[in-house]
Amino acid sequence: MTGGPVASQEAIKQIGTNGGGFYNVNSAHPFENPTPFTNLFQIFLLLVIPFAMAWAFGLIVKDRRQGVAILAVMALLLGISVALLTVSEMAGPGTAPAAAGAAMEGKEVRFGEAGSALFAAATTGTSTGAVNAMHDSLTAPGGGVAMFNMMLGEIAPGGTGSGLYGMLMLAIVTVFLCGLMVGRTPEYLGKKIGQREIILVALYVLTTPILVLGGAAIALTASDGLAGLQESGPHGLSEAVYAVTSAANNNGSAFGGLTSGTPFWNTLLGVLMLAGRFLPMLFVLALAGLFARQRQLPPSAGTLPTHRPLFVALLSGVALVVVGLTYVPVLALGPIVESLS
Amino acid sequence: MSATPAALGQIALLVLALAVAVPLLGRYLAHLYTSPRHTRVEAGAYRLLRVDPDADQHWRAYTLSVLGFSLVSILVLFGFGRLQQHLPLSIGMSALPSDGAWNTAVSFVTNTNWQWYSGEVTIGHLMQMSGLSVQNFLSAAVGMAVAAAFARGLASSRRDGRIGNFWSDLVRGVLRVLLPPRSWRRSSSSRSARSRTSPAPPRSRP
Repeated sequence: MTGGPVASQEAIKQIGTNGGGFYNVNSAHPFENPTPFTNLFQIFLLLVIPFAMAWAFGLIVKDRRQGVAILAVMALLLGISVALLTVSEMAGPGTAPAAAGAAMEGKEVRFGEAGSALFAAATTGTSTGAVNAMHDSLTAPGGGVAMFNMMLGEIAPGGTGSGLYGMLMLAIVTVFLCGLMVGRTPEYLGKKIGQREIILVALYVLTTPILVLGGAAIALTASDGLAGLQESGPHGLSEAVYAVTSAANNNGSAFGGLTSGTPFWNTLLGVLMLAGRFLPMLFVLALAGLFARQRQLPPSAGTLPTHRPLFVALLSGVALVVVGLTYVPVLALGPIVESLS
Repeated sequence: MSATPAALGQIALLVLALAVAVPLLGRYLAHLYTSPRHTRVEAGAYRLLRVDPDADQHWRAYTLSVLGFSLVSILVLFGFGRLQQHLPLSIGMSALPSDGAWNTAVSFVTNTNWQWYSGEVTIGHLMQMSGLSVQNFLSAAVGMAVAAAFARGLASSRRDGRIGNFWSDLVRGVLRVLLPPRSWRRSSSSRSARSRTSPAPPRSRP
């Protein structure tokens, strides 16, 4: 068995939400992740910086409650996906798990369904993409949740840094929508959301879906793209959609089944990763510049408080609705059809 | 069924550990990305990079720094992939194909880490350690830097469009967050330790 400098890559792979392992099977390999304790510790590592960035955000803007509100939304969305994934893996729906007694295909016995489900939720909720079980073998609803987590745009809690700015973009969308409803100029933390600001936010929100859906369309219409798929039908669609979603959202986990080491897939996914990382960053930094040119307005009677539970609920709703409206058609044809069949 | 208590138990343990660590680390990060003080190691790094860590960059200069740094990172990794058979510790691995080297270079620089290859039979030790692992640190630090810059932009009321210094965010993120703590223990207030040879700080426009 090949050995090597595994340790130098293992800790940073998790705490930097990177996910690239020394071994092909990543954290399912006993040299990378030997025991249930290391499994839990790795999950802790990959979550700690993204959540702490939200806390730090509150302190940097000199209002801790703002950071706590953002953190609460991240925790809420992650909690939902952990619950859904754990329940679907432990219930083991589908013919193969029922015949085998449990949905253990593609999972490590030392982690079990729960340890694998928790890892899968955490690795797709952050932009890590390390795996300790084969996501291709997750139950159909479980695989759907993992895909949905990435489609959220890596915000629950997201990658180191990228999770925070992704969530803040959606917070601005939320403030803007609420401003439209009451007919006032929306503002976030004393900064006005004018025309130029909201254009940048809209570009940010649109970039990844365009890359994902456009990339999927290219992959599914090119013969070189279809050649990589292992399955046909809904599961084959899921393999391709998972790959482009993972790349454009900078997650990096693979569904398996897809033979991606071909010139077509390497080139396509490389372009998606590059655009999916640096275009959003460009919009974020431009928006930061616009905000830094404004003075800080004191809150007025019409200001929507962004630290209350109401805002947490609104922001969670906006995140789910924006993603839902964008991706429901493709999810319906992939994991949802597969769950129902 | 004994699986359910185990499932709930590990989730509870995780939540507890995060509840303790997140406020502590969050406070540390907030200080890190707003403090003007540099450690001695960092001051050395800035001299090496020939940058002025105290220049408050306009957002355009900040963005160009991010993009330029990432472009160089991609080129370095691409070179690693194409030339690894000539490098030491390649343990007999041949060069990656050009599409594969492109994919891997972008993948690790963008914090994605999509892997089209099987690591243990494709990538030599030197590329694993000084190519891929290094980018694991740098790409994570770039992400944190951009988020911190955005937070500072929101908090700023100076009306000048300036959002901080990318190089200081990057170096601090690597040295004081991601690397083990030995590298920053000896802290010194060296605002004055700026480089004499640094290029003129980008003061393009207000």
